[in-house]
Amino acid sequence: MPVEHNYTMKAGTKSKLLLIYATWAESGSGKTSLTQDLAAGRAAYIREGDSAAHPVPMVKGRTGEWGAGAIAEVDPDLLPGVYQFGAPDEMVAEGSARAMLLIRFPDAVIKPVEINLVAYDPQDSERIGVWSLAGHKRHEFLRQALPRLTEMELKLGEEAEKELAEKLGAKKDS
Amino acid sequence: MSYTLKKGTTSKMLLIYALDASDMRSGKTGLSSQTAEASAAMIREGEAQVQSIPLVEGKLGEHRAGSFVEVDRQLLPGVYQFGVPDEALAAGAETVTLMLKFPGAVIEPISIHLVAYDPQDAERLGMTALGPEGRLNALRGAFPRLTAKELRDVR
Repeated sequence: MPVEHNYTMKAGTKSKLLLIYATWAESGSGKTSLTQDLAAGRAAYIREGDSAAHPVPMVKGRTGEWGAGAIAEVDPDLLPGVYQFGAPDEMVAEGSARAMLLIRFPDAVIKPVEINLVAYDPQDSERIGVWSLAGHKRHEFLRQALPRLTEMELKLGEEAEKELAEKLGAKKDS
Repeated sequence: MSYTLKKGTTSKMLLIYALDASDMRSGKTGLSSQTAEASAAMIREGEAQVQSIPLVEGKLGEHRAGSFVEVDRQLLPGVYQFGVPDEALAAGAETVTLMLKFPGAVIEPISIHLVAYDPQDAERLGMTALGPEGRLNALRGAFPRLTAKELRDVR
């Protein structure tokens, strides 16, 4: 049975490896050995808003290693029909909200790979890539919101710096 | 096929995939807005009636409500661009389902989740609580006297 390939990733992600599943057209079971005849395969993508499709030349890859258009069979015995494909960086670059990739081989069924390109980062456990939650942005906001406290803080900083400079000067003299 | 979009998104183009019904494995090429018996329709959650969407010609990379354009039959057979009418994504519903029907082709229903946040906003995901106004209100709520003093001093 063909498997959906849906991804959500931050636009601008680099060196992304996709796992795809290929089945025999007739039986629906995993189709192995596709990488033995790469010349028979075709890959291309379109990004939402593009005025033309982009071909992706496929090359033989190695599992766990990224290369644009690199395809590798994962394990024909343990995971028959599963392949790793190196997504070209341009396909997932900023500037579009969606990309669709088609990988085709004769007698194989591979469902389209659909990628949601989002502004946040689903892999960022601290603030899912939301800028306004970054430490410096929050500090900036607090300083703007509490200007008197900020002035006091700066003054304390200046005093601390002065004290430190005096201590260093005294150390040098001795 | 599903999407998550901010309510009120306009000029949205969807990339859709049409399977050839004769073999159920290859992409169906040659479909167009002129194809006989083709139709498009949508239903928004809570609405009592299905709305028909007239299919029209269009250009790749350009939005037009109801436009249906083949992307590239050699490189991406079966892939089409569809221009979603702005009314489909307007505020007032949380989900909308679109269906495109063509003789000899199978196209999965398109399910769109209409959300209040903005997946394309890297600054604050469209959340007002993370904007200056929302944060200022939170600060005032937490330190009412200090904030009042601050504001008095600034004036």
